[in-house]
Amino acid sequence: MRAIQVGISPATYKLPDFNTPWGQVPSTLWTAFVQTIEMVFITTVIVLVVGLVVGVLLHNTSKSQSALFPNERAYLVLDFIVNIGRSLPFLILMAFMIPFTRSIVGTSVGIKAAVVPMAVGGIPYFSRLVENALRGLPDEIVTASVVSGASTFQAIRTAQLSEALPSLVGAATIEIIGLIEFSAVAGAIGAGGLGNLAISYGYQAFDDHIMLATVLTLLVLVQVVQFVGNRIVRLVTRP
Amino acid sequence: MTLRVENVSKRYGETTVLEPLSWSAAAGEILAVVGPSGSGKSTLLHLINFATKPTTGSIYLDDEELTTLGGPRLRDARRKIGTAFQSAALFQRRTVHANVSLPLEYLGVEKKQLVEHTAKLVDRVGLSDRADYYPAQLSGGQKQRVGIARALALNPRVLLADEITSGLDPATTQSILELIKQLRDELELTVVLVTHEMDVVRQVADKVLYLENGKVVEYGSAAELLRNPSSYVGSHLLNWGHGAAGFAAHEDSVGLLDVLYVSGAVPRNWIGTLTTEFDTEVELLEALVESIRGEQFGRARIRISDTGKVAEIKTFLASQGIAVVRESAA
Repeated sequence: MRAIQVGISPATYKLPDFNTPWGQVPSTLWTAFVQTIEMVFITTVIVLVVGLVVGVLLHNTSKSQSALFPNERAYLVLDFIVNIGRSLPFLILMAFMIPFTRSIVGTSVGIKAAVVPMAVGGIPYFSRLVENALRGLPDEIVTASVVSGASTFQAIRTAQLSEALPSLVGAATIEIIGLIEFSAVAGAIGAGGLGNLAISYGYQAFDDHIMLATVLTLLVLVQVVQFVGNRIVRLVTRP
Repeated sequence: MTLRVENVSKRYGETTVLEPLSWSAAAGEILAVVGPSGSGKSTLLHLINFATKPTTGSIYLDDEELTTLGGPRLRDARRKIGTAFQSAALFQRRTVHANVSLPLEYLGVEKKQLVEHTAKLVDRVGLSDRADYYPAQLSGGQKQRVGIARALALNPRVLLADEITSGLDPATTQSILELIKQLRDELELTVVLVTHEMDVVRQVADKVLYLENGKVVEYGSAAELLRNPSSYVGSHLLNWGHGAAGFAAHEDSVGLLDVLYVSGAVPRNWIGTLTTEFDTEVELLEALVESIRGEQFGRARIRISDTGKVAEIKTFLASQGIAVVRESAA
């Protein structure tokens, strides 16, 4: 008796092609790309502004020689809050924050909903980068501005932010790249954008074309941001 | 304006950084604050430019007490005191011009006036041709000049200079000190110069405050300290710090005298006079004449053969304005 062959021989079976035809890839990609840019742009604005303020407060309340208004208690509180924001992996932070996000923007999906956890995750990181940049300045610069008659605000503007501008631009570049990564993760839980595309098409639907296109787009995006960042740093650096 | 410090001290918790001290410096005077590192020099400077508050005591500018001021009046007072820093503390992203104009910018001086005044200041310190350079493109001496110009931007009455010549070569140091003297003369500035270099003190100081471990060891006019045979500063200014060791080498012999004099005031042939007047042999063992700030200071070690006449000779020397600093045991 001959054995009945059941199933499909691995040698002859050909996987069905789940790939989006190359011709349709650009349009799909473009929509997602625009969503990502939108998400990253909005968040960047929020993170840079708030993070800069928090970073300036962190540095100037600290024990550093060039702190303008050292205040141990204020520093401890800020430091603690910033550390909380930095201790959770973004995916967990995002999931954890859903009720909060919903109460702020009224929804837990979409770009608006992604911006909230992205900002909450990005602000502490950028604050630290700012604090670090300010701490890296020579102490005498701040002293010099104060004894030259600068008000606190003038000292912050001229002796800290302006002198640290190249480092701050460098920090912003790192931050934006970090936010691009956040946006990809956010996409995974329904925010749209390149992350969403990579997960729902590339990963869950075995669409290799989309996967490849997404990865390449992210690669190019990060390279461009870094390139532009470096250029600006060079532009604002004096001999 | 006269800067007057009265019973000022500074403590951080249990540590006393400065014991109560008092001094003053008048307009046109250069006070050198000298001492080894950790002696409290910088703390003293920070007290005067209000970077820190004294634990006790008061600081006056003419008759106004500065220590009790706060807010806008403190800022006004600050403007009367310009500070030049050790590292020059220049803003790296600003040109020479923009560094010097900073204090005017803070004050809100109108643009045209600011540009004119800054140009004058830059010119005054001899950097007109470098006005558009960035600090990184300047030499150490040039950076200091920028720092000094910035300190003078608000027409202060007092200039504080914190180790502004440290790390500079001797020729540059000299030129910076010349600039300080020139500014002092032209602007009638009261200058407080913190330094650890005796050479600097020798070249410019009218008054000296010598600190050690937060205490004033010596304080007085440079001329006074130079003439005072027991002064530590005086002997160091004369490169005479190691005199005692040399003296010990001659300890076995008798009739040794170390003398100190200001040569303009003393007959040049004073040794010859001793020989003839007292009919004794006078050996000159060591001698050194130094010119300090236009005055010739001499020191000499002599041996008098006829030891019986030492007392007489000392009286004679005193009448000639020659101080006996040390003598060997009879």
